[in-house]
Amino acid sequence: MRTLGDGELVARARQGSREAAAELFARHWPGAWKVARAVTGRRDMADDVAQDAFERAFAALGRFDRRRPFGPWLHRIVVNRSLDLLRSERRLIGADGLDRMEGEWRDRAGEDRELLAAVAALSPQRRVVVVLRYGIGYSPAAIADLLDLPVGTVHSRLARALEDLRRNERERHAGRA
Amino acid sequence: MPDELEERLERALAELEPGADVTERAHAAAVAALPPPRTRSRKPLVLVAAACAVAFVFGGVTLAATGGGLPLVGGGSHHRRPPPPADTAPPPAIRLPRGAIAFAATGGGRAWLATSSGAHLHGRSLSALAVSPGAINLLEGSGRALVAVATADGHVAFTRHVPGEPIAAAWAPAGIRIAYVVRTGEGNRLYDMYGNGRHAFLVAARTDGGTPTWRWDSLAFAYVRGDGTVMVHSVIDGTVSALPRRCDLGRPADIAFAPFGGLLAIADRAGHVAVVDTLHHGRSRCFDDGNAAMPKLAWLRPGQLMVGAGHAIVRLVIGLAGGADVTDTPGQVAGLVAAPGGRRIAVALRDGSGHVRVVEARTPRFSEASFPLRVYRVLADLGEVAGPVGLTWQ
Repeated sequence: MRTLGDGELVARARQGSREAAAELFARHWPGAWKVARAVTGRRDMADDVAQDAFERAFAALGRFDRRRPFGPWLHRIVVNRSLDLLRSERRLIGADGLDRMEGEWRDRAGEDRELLAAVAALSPQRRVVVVLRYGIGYSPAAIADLLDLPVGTVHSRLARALEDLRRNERERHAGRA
Repeated sequence: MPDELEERLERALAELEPGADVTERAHAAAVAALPPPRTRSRKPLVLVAAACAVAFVFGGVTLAATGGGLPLVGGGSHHRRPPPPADTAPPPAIRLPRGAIAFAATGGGRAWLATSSGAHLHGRSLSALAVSPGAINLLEGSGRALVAVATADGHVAFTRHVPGEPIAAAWAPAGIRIAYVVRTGEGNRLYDMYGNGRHAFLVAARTDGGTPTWRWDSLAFAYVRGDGTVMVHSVIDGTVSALPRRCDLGRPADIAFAPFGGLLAIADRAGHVAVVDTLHHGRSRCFDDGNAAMPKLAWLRPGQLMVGAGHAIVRLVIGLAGGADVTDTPGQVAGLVAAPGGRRIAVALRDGSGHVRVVEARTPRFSEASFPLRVYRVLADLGEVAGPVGLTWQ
């Protein structure tokens, strides 16, 4: 089963194979959750968003084009749901939810925590491209395809995000000095 | 060539991992969402889809009625439970009020139910229970799942795995949505999902754990946030509005939307009641029944509200003329509900030893003097039940 490609797993899952569905889930769940957590910045939201995205993806397997890769399709759902939820949360609980984002990273080691907190402080648009680039390993072209953006826009968002993160690093080091 | 910052980003993001319990739950939910295997003939699916489309067009109640059928299209579970006991079952622990199609009571982690189709629950251990419009389906909460069961034949319409213990659920009057509350280690989280168990979405991370109340048109519901603020959530565009605290209200103990219009009643434990117009930004009406006890709200009709607290039911008229009446009850009011149309009421009454009985009674009449409640008959003897008792009458 492990040697099968995603397309074949999708085909088998469509035919009712729970083993294939389980393998597809095992293969893509950690990445989907990681995207959700990094984009939302919150573990509880990531749990919900990633589960919801998987349910939607599995329910729509019949419409999935097997010639295309499964991962980016799933990640597109995750990103869209994460951004929807962030917009909704901002309306719902205002700054309270955003404050929590930073608190979520306290379980990380010092350097990681500060870097992840800085990522969480980026605008959602920049945060998404950073997570897809450095968390999932997509190329800028793949990110552009996934987000329906021009490649140039992805490059500029990445560059500005890294610039923000570097500035944050400099300010942090200056503060310590 | 990645620089040092990019390498650190890769390392930090690589270490994020989901919890095992979350993974297990998500796996079960995802597999349950799989569509059924394709068959040669698509005709039945087309017919069912067409039926669903017609149901959607002609109203959510119809959609709720097909709630057991929708997952056949979308891939929900198809398990069956033993059919609900009918004539051969032991005498029901709860009786159906005259003319009702369903009557349910919940409290102390147990549920009682009777429907005109013959379904009964006899104090079953459930952490939440909601009855769909038309009493077609029951939504039962236990463990870490919500299960929708057809009242007619025990068919499991869908199973929704949730991240904690479901403690409250409310079906929209049109049947197309369900709001539910899950108790987790981080708080009581409020979700909203479709009436077929799909597309659950987090509405609020921390609520007071009470049952949300739906507006009559099913386009919005109200709930109480963890800090005691009453919120109205629109399911159409996801917007939410916080209602300003008025009428010297303390922490809300019960909230209830009127059966028509946008009036929302809010009561605290100190006897304060506010009726807020959530649709037209009209003035809030304030009442003080002077009854410092756990209140239960029930609307008789759009302009008449009942507040049960302590050993009395106060009837308030919300209008230009105003007015109020007090009816004494033979026990402490633990639950209160009005029949559709408001012609009769049911009250859960707790005696001095903690024993709870649910009675069917006449709707209080206006008078200057205080009258005792006129009880028609006992609907259920629930035994000792702690806390408030939720009542549903359809």
